[in-house]
Amino acid sequence: MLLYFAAIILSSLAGGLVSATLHPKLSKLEMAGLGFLLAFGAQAWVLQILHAAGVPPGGGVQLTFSVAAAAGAIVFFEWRSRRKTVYGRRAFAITRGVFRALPPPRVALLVTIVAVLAAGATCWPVLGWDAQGIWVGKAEGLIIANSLRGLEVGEHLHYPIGLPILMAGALDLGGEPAVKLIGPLFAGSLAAVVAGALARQGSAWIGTLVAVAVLVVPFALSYTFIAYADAPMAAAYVASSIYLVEYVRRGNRGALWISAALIGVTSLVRLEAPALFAVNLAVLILFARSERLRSAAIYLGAFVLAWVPWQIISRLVLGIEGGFANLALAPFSDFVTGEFDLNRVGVISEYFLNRVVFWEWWSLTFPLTAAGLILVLVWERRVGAALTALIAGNLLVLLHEYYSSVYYDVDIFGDKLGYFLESGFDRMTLHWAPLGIFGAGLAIQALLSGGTRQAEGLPLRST
Amino acid sequence: MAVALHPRRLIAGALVLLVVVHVGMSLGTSVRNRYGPAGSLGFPPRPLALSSELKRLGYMRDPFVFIRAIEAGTSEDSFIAVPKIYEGGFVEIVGRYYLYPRRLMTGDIGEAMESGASHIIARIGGELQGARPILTVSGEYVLYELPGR
Repeated sequence: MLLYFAAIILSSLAGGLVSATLHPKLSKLEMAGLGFLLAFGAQAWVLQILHAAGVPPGGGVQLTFSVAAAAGAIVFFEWRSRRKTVYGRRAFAITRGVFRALPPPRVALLVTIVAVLAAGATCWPVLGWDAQGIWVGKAEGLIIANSLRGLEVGEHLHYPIGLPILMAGALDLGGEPAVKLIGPLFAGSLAAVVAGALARQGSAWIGTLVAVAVLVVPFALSYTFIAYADAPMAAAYVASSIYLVEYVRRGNRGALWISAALIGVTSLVRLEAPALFAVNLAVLILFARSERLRSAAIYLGAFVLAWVPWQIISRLVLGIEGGFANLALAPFSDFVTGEFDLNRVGVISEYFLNRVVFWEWWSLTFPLTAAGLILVLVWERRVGAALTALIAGNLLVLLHEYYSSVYYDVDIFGDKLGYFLESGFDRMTLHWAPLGIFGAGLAIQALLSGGTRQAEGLPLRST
Repeated sequence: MAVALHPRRLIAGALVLLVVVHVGMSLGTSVRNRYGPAGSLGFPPRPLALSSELKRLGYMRDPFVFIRAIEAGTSEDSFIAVPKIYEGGFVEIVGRYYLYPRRLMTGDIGEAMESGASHIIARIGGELQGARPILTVSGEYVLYELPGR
């Protein structure tokens, strides 16, 4: 287990240093969260290629990657610092600072929550079929077969393998408890990003409070516990969207690079990544202040670079067929042939409305999100519109998925659409509900900053 | 010292209150999902008590192996009584989904006989009169074929 922690810390350090280069204004908290997310993406991207080339999966290669990434990042930044570049000096100072400084109370609070999550995660049985049959099943297959052929143990062979690769290394280095810690690590990373990104807008404590609210989005905690891919996907996607909103708001290139890198990370986790990427790309093109084509090209390039290797490996190396590609086009072909089922859209929409607005388990997610979005729209129309479009786009992707789900070729008793709605909607809220709560955080910071510090001529606080 | 209550501060305060109440209300529901409440296997977690090899690979595949074993030992028209060995939802969701069109129910031998079940899964060591053991499921359980079915 110690080796597993070493691998996580070293690779996250490398990721944090890279994020410091991309975005010089990041807080340390954000760097810690982004470090883990970017390190996961880089590791999954590199290792899938190495495994396809014949390098066996497992803890050894993961640890080697982490050591190499950390050493490479530190040597690179040391070289940069000798050349007196701003980023290099800052990144190296931050590396020293991270190890020296005691965390402030709000950071300690988040760390404590993640530690409690981690303890809870090890108490959860891994029961869900997705965990058993897809993610953990494939990870175990990778270890047992010692090659990518081990993926055949699992179901849905065409799914991206970033998570099974990470889980295989965790299984090898730390056993089953290590696998169960992956979810809390992703959740903690997202909390760090939310807290840090909001802290740069004003009160650091408000950022922490909103981060806690994001962590307790209904079902979020439970899905970090049970080795599903939804929590990791949500962490990468929501973090990507947060920096996309920052780019829309301020136009800083660093936020765009980080958002682009993270949307690339999503392509290594779940199949929905291209659809969610399309939503974010549309928001970028519609709402960016300037350089829309150039920004879109960066975004597209990062996604394609991350997405393509698995498409090649799965088809050309492993001979896996495309899976659900035909389902993606189902609504359009229905429309062309005049068989579009408007009634089905109505059933899905009614289900969404009932679950989003009236669900007893939903707590105050809806009023909080609605109030936050309205206030952000009033305060800064472009940012509010971008956030609203991101959430609406996510709901449209869900609508599309559920419309097509009835064509999924599987024997299911009873109502197929009802089954898919019941079995998936709660997980899919993790992709967009945190964005609404982040919007509420932005609104609070704007109201407080505008009412106090800005009105008094004080600079906005930066941590 | 007087504090000026600017409308923006009031709205921000109301939103902060909303966030705090939301966190409080969500704590209970956020650690539940359709597989039941967290930590129901107790602490320290069960896997830590297993051998290193089982800890590494065995425990998490248990329901997966369980389902595959039932599938192998029954036919599509089987009606199987399954004990509640996993948290709620195994039979209702995972089992029913992947063992379809087999029918499943939860219950003991009496309920199984009464309902007309063709098979029952019971813990090793128990005696089921007249039932024919077919195979061992997941190490601790045996799949039996019930008489006259």
